[in-house]
Amino acid sequence: MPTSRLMRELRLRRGAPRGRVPQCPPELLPPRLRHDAPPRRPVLRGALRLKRAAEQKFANPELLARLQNATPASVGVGRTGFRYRTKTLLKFLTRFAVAKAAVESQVPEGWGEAQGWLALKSQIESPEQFLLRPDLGRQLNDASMDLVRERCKRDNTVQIVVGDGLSANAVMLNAPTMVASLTRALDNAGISYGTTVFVRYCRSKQIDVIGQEVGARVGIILVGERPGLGTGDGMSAYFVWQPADERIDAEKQAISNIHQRGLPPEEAGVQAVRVIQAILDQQTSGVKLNLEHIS
Amino acid sequence: MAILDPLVPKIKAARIIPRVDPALAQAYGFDGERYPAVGLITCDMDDPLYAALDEATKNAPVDVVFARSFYAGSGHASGPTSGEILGILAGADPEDIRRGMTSCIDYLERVAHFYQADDAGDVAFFPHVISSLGHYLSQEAGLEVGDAMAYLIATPLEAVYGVDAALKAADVRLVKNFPPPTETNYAGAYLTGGLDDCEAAAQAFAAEVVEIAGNPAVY
Repeated sequence: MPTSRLMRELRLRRGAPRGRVPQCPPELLPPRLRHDAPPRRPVLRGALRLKRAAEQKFANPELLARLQNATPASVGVGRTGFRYRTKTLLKFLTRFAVAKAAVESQVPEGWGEAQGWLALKSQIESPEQFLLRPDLGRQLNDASMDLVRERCKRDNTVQIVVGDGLSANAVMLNAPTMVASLTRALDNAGISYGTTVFVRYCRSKQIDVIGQEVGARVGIILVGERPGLGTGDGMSAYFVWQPADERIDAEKQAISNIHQRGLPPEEAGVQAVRVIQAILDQQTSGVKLNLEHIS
Repeated sequence: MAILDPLVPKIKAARIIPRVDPALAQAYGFDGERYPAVGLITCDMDDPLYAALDEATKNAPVDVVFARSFYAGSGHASGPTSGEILGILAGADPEDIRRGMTSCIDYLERVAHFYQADDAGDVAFFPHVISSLGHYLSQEAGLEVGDAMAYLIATPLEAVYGVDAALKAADVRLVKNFPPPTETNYAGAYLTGGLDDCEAAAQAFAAEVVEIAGNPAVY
């Protein structure tokens, strides 16, 4: 705790009324250090300019180029003094904006129904509340729970849930393709599945809530992943054997980075069925599941 | 004006020397080749500036090469720009010094304050907790960078009584004692322990200083 808060606590304990913090008058600050003073830009000349240019020489430029091409991350971007270069900073801000836009994205009304899925909602009432109350995102609201009881097929082998999660963009881009591929592969393998549902304001725990209610043996949930720099379209699939309220993360399986530049959704659907078959064979999921035989 | 109101330090003067003369550097006891850029700052409260200089060493690659308090304090300053302390930051680049100075001033404005012990505002004390020491005060205190420290300063009798209370209030140990009079006629100590213990010690210190200000001669 900062000292100011320690002293405020002490003051309250003594029963005194709260005081106001006096500010240091800005006119007493010398001109260079005031926030409204114009910045002084140093112009690089002569020896200092050459020094800066020389700093950009690398011992092994080909190796650096290979490293840079191997990843979309910012590698070998250089610096100016101890600070980022302006170009690096601007690139970072752009990619951060992509991530923020993905987090703020919302699935439009009626999208779930348009895919042919049963549309449900968690106990969250607004997008702003979603990030602040993960606990409410893990439970269905009463109307949705009733819908599950009335309309969902029960006691199938697999229950498929789709949820917006932390990136609606990701789910809108990848979930329809993956669900189509997944259901086709489940049909080919002769594995039964229940009514596919779409949950708005969804956290991955919903697979336990819904899977338990419909009595499925294996649950699979597709949710938007927390976006990273420059990527807002990654989707994750979580699998769980015998979904129930008491299931913990160690008992769950995950396939992450399902998107066009990662694992394409069509392939992910097929891969998912292989995982489901392994779960059914071994009657477990998560840390204890052995997936060495799956490519 | 109320008890335990913060008293915010004022910067009296500040300057940056982009490339200090080597002879001057030598006279002040540091290497002008290694630390060509230098920042000077005076303040009307010495202990907050010591803490702020330490904070600057965490936010920029700068070192504190000089920091001393002036006799009798800012109430008897030699001039309007003297305050009661001069601190000198040194580094490789003027831009680093600028960053150090900005972080120093921000810390003085927002965090490192003296506090009032009485309603009239005649008695001031410094019950400061540093959650993570920088490179300057850690060296001064003989502790590690990142350690927590309670930096407790008050007028002479309150300081002795208050540090005693602080040592008893929590699991802290005394690392450096400043008996009165310091240059500014104050006294105090550095205490260290876990962060929670330092906070409890600082609060106990503050409570005693305020109590003495309310009943000075009752023993």
